[in-house]
Amino acid sequence: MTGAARWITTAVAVLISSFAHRAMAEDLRKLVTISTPEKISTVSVCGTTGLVAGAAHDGAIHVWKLPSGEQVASWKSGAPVSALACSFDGKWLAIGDEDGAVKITDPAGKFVRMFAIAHAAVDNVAFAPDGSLLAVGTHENPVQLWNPGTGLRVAELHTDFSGSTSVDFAPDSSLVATADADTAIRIYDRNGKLKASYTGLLLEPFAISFRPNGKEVVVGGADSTLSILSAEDGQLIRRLPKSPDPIFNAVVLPDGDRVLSLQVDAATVRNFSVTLWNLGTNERRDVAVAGKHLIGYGEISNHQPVMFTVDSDSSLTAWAIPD
Amino acid sequence: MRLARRELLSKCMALGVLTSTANLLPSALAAAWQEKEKSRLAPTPASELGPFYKRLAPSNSAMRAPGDPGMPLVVTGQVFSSRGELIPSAIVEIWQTNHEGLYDLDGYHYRTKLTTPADGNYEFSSVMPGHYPARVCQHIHYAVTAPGYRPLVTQLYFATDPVFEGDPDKNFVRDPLITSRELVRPVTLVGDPKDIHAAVKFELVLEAM
Repeated sequence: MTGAARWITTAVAVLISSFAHRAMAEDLRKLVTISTPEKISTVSVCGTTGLVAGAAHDGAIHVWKLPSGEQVASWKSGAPVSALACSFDGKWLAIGDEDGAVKITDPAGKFVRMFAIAHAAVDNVAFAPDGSLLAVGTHENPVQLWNPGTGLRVAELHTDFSGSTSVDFAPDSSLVATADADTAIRIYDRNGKLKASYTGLLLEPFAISFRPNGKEVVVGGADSTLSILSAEDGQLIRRLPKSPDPIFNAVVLPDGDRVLSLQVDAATVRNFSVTLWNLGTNERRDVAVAGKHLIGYGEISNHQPVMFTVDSDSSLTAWAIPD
Repeated sequence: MRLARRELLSKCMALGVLTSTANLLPSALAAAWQEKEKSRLAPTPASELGPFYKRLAPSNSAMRAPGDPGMPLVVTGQVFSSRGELIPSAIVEIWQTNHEGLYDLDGYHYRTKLTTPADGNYEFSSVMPGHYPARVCQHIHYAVTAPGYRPLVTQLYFATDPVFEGDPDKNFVRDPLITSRELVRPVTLVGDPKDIHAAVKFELVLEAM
């Protein structure tokens, strides 16, 4: 969980007690609602295998099948869970915890190996699409790249101070991009060698996502807009018109032209929205209403993009995002 | 603890007690080392940066503009190394909310970037930051950098915060982001009743790379 995400989690606790249940906008189709005894705080879709993993802060891990919602595994991790990622082939789960460790398990919970990362909580974990690298971030230090197959650290990336708020791999796993708390965007090769950077942002970026072409990244952050940057030289290509609120999460959808984002009103922490942006037309529209918290995004077996929300009663819902 | 001459020399040089290995007796080395150890300072505990850091803040020690609502506040301190030496030319970036708990994202109100002079001092005037829904306690953000030292990202908290109910020793844990009681500082009221302000001292200790 990033620092921003930690802030949002606190905010959402306020939101959930403040808002009654309201319907989602009509352009989302509910796939399944899953009841869990614990409140799931993060989910990760296992590529196109049809599996999705979810974790609660208390260490409970569940793996379900989509779209049925059938639970295929459930176990308790040893320490409070702060980050979760599933590899694209569904072979591994990376579970980051509050004690600064990352455990690799299979989707049934069988322990594979563990990395000791830091003395601080692990904020985010992300697998490269080919499964050869795992990026691990903490809020205090730059992202580390690990080889999940060998348990060896490949590289430690760079910030001027503090850590990274978001990390994403290029679709061909050749590049890794970080949105850093020092406001820089940095792009590295798979060995951790810096290839390009962008320092034109004044406020913190909170989210970074590659477009499917692997040549551009989309960045969202406290400046309340999306910026499109070249992944080759780090230069700004363009910015979209500002939204009313800071963007705390953003992912490019498979079509490459749409971006799903989460905004929270920084002033009041009362307005919470999920928005679809169209990079081609600069249009944006809200697709969800307050009271639900976007906690994940992915694609299921038929390449259907889905988003996950958790409701005030702790139920987890998967929503299909239409074309 | 008994230390061999080589260990003593190494520790004394690391602490800056020695700059050359003169023919000193082990007892003199041990005394010098112990004396320097007394002046060692614990590094300031780190805390989260986010979420609203903004780059390129102006260098402006008067963050409070005339007429700004809220309790006036003056924060003073010095930047030290963990060896107890003052650090000149440290960059101290500071940002906070206004008295209502709002960050200025469009401009640089309540944001500054100070450079310490030779005596390592820094000082700024502001207002007591407000509470906001996503955070339990009033706080001021710091990002401190200096060549040769690990960057420090931390937050200053106030012992007078109502959240602590007068007992910060016990209640500082109410804010999960307060990583250490050390970051909660006493507040004194200074000045005459017509021109009163809160005063806080916050020393910053950086670790060498």
